[in-house]
Amino acid sequence: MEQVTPSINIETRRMELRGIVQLAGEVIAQYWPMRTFVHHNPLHSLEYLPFEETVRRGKQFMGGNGYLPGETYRGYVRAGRITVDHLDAALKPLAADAHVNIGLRRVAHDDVLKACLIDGLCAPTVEPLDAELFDPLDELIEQVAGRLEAVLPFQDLGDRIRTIVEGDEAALGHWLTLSHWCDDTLGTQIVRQINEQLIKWCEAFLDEGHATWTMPGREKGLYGAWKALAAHEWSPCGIEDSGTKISRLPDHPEDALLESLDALGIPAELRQDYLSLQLTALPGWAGFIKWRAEEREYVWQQAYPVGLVKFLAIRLWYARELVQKACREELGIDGRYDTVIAYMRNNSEEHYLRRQRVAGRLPALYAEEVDRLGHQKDKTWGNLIERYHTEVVPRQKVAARRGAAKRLLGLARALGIDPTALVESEPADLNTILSWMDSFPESDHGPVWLHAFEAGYHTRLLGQMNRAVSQPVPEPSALEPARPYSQSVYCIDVRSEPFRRHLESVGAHETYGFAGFFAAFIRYRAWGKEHDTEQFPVIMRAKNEVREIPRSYLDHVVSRHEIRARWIHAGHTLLHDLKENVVTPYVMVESLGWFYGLPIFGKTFVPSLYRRWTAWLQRLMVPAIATTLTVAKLPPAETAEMLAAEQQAIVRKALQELIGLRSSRITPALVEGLRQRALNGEGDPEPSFLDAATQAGLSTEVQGRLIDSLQRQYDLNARSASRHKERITRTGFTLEEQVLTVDTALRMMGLTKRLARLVLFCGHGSTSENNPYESALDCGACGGNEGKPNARVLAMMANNPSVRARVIKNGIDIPSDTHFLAGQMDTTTDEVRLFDLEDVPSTHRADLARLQEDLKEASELTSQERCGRFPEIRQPIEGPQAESHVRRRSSDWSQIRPEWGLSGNTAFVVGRRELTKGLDLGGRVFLHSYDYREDPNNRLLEVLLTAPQVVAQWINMEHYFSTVDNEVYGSGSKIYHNVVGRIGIMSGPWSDLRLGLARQTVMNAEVPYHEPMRLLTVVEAPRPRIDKLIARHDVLQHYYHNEWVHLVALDPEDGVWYRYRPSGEWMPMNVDSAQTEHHT
Amino acid sequence: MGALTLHPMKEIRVIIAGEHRAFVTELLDQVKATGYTIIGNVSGKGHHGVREAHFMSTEQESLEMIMTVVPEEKVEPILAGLRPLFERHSGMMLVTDVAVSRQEYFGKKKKES
Repeated sequence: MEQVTPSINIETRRMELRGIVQLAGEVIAQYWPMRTFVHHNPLHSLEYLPFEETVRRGKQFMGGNGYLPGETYRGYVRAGRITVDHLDAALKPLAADAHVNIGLRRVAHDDVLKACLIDGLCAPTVEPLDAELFDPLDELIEQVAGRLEAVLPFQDLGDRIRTIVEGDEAALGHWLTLSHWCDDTLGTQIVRQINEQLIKWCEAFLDEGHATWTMPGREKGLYGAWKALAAHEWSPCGIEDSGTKISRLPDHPEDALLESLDALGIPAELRQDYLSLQLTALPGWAGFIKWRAEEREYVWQQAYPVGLVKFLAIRLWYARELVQKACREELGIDGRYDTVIAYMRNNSEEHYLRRQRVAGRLPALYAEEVDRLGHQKDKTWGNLIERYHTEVVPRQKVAARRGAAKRLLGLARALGIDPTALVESEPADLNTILSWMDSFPESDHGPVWLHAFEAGYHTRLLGQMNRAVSQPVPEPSALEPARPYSQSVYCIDVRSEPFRRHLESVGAHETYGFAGFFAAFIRYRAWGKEHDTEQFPVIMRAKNEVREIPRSYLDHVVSRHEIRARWIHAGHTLLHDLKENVVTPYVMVESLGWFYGLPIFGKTFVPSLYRRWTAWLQRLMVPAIATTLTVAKLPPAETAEMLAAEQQAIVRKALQELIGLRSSRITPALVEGLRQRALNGEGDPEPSFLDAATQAGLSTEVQGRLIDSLQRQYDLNARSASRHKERITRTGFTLEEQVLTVDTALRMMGLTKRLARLVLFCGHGSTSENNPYESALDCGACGGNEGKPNARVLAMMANNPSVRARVIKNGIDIPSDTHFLAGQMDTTTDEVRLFDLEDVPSTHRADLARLQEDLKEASELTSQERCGRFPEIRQPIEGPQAESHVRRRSSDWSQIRPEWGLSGNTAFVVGRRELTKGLDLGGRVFLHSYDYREDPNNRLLEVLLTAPQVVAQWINMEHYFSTVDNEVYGSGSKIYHNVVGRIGIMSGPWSDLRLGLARQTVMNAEVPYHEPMRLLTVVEAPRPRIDKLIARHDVLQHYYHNEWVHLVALDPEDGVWYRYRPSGEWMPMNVDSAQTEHHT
Repeated sequence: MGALTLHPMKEIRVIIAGEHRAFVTELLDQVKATGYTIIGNVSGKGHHGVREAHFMSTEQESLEMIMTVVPEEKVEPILAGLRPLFERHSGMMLVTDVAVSRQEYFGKKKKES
């Protein structure tokens, strides 16, 4: 066996550090750029912990609350949303079977806890002038306080100091960085200073084309660029001699990071946590850098590399310099981990006083003393502590007693007990009650409230579903057709639910739910665009590319379209460049300013009309062309042709750029000849090529240089040609892949027999104006893009006769007269558009017309329903008015809430439509069609629970955390939003990159609109199958055992509803009555 | 026909969840490994149970195997970088002895004789 001898060589240390940084980075969530907004759980990486623990850690790391404020929940109790029964059930695990006597009345533990919750006894509002004003209960308070004097424990000052010092020692390195410690103890602003510097550099470096003057030197990577520029800065944050220090830093960021960690003296076992803490100080920017570091194909990342190691190298340099400076100046010690711990141990009293001073907990006189002593550095701290002990501590004792007495009086009032009875009770009993209240502080109320809150909704929803399931199946009447008019498949998005309900009510249409990417994992390039979009959930990977190309009979229209489009693009570029130019304000404003008045007045006063007018203008200038998608693989001849065309374009570009040859002199023969020479290298040149070259005036030497640069600079050689060919052949799907896609999709939905004449795959997208969060309203299953390409791809595949023949052979019964359609629903205007109608056979005209009519009617009904939920609309409005209202909302550039989007989402139902048909679920439920009878080996359920459920949980958690603490986990009010670098949002000019959803998305003024509850997954499948899946997948264990997601199963074998307990057992639920059992 | 000389090198094989692929490939690039091969969508059984590949598996659920051939001196940095990852996540790595005929191709400098 070989020994790999451990040497401490630098390469190894560097790589080990990379590994540690990778793990440290798992604490923060990746942040996708806003163009493809992805809803995700901000505390995703901590899902291996129970929910309540994670929320606590979130509070510790990022300072975010995990539950709504107690007052809000109390409001829900008053409104009846939370019932007292559910509260009792939620309190049961916490309540001991104990009781005491107040006077003659018996008071049980759970009574006390319930009163704490409902009457807010643990966080009484304290008015500053309370102590001055006369309180009629004063005498009573004094009496009760007197009873408590003997029994109420009060911590001795020495003990208190010791506890605090020990706490800080334990926290340092785990929960507290040295910078935070300095801020807490010395009153410095180190963390803020570091953040300001980092924000400045990140913002400049990560810009993606938004800035007019870009940061120089970005190719060197974040660390290299910073090093080059910061060395010229004049003493940032007051660090002396920064220029020399920075230029002396090592070239490798790993080395610089190691140096800083060593300088701060962080022990090896604490380094990972310490780096995590550094990252959570700026979770937005760090999250974005984390995302970019993983996207190696991303254009900007390839040009300007950035990573967490570089980020931390810079951050820790500032941290070490500032900590060293603060510690030296204020305390006379080195800014290192070990020296700080030694200081705390040896100067505990000084440390205590300083800390209390910075936290504002010292009376004014003492605070001044502390400041004076801090600057003098004489050792009279002991005297100060003595004075504190004799003067301040007794007052604190008295205040504590009075506070306790007040609390007891509050409790007595809440329980309806005469307060004078308190004076007659045993002091020990009073103390017991106080200890009960102390062990149930306001910060522990959250989980209890949440359980009760969720129970209320679960009972209602499951009751509804139970009623739907237990209703007898009505006999098909003579009037109802045996075959439905159509079947349509919608994304599982909650916004599909109202539309599906209305469509089913309008005619004999069946609807299904399926994740919006319709099993088509594609990288899509639209016609005329230069970038690809990834049309699948971000947690997956794709390998097929699909392009949109004009239908082949439209060649002449295409070239006209291209020319016009190029003109318009040139116009846009010109305007944009003019706007950025320095001279423009002096010249252009008078001449062209009036022109800009048109959009302003149009968009503000007549938004719908303005939008219609601009759309008409665009259609006039650049008429739309009918397109189709490259779903099938290209035959080899076409591939070769496409490759040749691409290479010829490169040669043309090279001729223009390198030699400046005018396009009139570039002949096809010349281009072809150059291309062949570049690809084939040596050999005698063709005579035709020499002719063309001489005609263009190129000497042999110039030819040689040209070919050389074509091969090197423009990457036009034999090797790269085969690579390009391979990439082109990646376009499209093989027959096998198409069959697999269609088969999986249809089986997963349960759409395997009784297909209608028309089957519609309907993706969804949204339209809004001036909305940086536009992508958040689009389809999450399509990676934050609209679902149109996926719907079209699946429809094309399913209509392909060879694919259909194979699918039928696999056992899915597709009738010969079924045609598959693609469509897209606009969730802001509820309009459904159908695509590729040229492919619909003429036999289906009548069906199509009927479908379109019914879709229109369903749209109107949906708009009507949705308008009822907008807070600005007081009176209910009818169909056509509703339609014009939503249209105006979507084109209004001042509208901060074009639609509620996914707010209000609560549950994810996996089962047949029969479970939910006809139920008004309020547009709050993710519905995925699934028929367990079609899934004998459980593979499809496995995919459903590990993919769409994860997406639903991410969406749910994003909304949950943005509602409970919008400032920390959400992005604050839209009013202050400032789009930065084309990638994200800051609040104001200078802040961390904001994550999460805006306030207006989840709140309705001060009250939450989205009810923050954890996702409820309802699965219609036999329980053993679900158990098997949970055992195999970590993510399901995290969700169900750590209580991130509630799981309820409707077992078709016995028709009983079961609830999955975190212990792993199934508890049968009594759904019809208004109770669900909560057993421990 | 000349004699075929084989030079000893080391091969490192890593099996990890798809979501860590970017980290591992970045690590290999930083160490200046000349290249690597990735086999995606593998199935297998380990300490955490059976994992089967499905074309709709998420990145977290899918397994990938990454193989690279490097000179001996690069093995230690690579292992040092991967060790923290395996302390928390499931997967495995192993180092084997292999022999290649073009050692410069795999990054080993020819010894000046």
